Amino acid sequence: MRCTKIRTEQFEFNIKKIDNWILNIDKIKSGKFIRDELKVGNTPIVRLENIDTNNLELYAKIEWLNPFGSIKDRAAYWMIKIAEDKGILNKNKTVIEPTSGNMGIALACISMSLGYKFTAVVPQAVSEETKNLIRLLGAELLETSDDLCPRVGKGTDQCIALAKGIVNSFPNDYFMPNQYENEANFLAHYNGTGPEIFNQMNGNIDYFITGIGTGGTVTGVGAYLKERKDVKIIAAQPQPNHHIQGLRNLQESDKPAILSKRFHVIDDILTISDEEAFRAVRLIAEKEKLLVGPSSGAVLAAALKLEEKGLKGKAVLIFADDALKYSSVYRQFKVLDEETLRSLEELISLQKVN
Amino acid sequence: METKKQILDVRNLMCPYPSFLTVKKLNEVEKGTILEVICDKVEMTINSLTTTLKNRGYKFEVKEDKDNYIVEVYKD
Repeated sequence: MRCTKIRTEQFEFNIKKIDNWILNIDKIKSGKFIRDELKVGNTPIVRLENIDTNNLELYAKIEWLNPFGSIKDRAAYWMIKIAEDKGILNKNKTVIEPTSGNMGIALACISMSLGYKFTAVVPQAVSEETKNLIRLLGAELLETSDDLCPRVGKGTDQCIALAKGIVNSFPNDYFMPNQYENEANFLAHYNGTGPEIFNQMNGNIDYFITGIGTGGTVTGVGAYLKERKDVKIIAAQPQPNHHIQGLRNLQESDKPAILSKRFHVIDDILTISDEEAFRAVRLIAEKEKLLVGPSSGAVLAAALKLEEKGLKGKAVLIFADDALKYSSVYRQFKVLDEETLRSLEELISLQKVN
Repeated sequence: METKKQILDVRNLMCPYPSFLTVKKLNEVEKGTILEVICDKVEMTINSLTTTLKNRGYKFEVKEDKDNYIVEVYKD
């Protein structure tokens, strides 16, 4: 992939914006983050004006402006809040969750700022940036290998098995939100993200495009929008054996319960290769001066496929997180230039978070 | 060289937590140690534990008494 310099003054400004959620993490570590400050959602939508399209008008919902840097803050907050309200979660329990990334960071931050201990169960393959962030927060990190439990599949399947084993061993000591099965994950988007998008667009929306992970976003937003008007719901799935953290390919991974339950709201699923996703990440950096995570690249790549088909109208895209946790994968695949990668690494370095 | 012995009790723990704790402990103990893992008489747990140990190339021996399996694992 071609690598040119993309740093400009505007770009520097964007890096500062990314910095916000790192500062929030810093506050949690020093115990200064209080419950009243925990406001998830109400993220801005921006028009992507500089990406050339003839038929589709592209808008992106900037989800890294949630308090801890990703769309997962929404589901994490509502899973904890609803469990507290139902009395399933109390101060004697540790929150434990199998996760491959952003949900670990979101739940670590939200649990700890509300006074709960947190244990993340992650596959060994999770990026060092993510693991370091979880450790720095003071959360416990358990890493699973693919040969731990012979009865289940690889990666996060091993994490789910271990987390369930621990919860079943000590049911009074642990609470496992389980984003793959918890209805609160759907509700966070049905009651939050969906209405926000509809109102921000004044109802002028024809396509909604997002990635497939747990299925919470696509079914929650999708179900809400479809109740209001005939919006086409498009899901981007990565190729098999992909490098797009947080998304899943439905041929190689099971459909989570959350997704199966309302799978019918999805009108079309587009498969995106790593190369298409990374090329789109680069395009967003060059044209819009936004540093996005790989899943946002996959979502833009899906939008560009709709544009190629000649579809017309306004499309809202979910940009789930920023580039901060992906400097190693972006270096491996030469997605961004060296200077940009270095400034990302500097941002997430120990000194910064300490 | 003197053989050191360490004991790990994984009774009342649900699968695959016993395997996870055993692997973790084996990574921590010194070479030459015998780790004695005390495990419930539950087929699923012992099968899972011994499969994991086999996959990782550990030498081990399974003994049993009235209530438990005892897995002696050699770290070399």
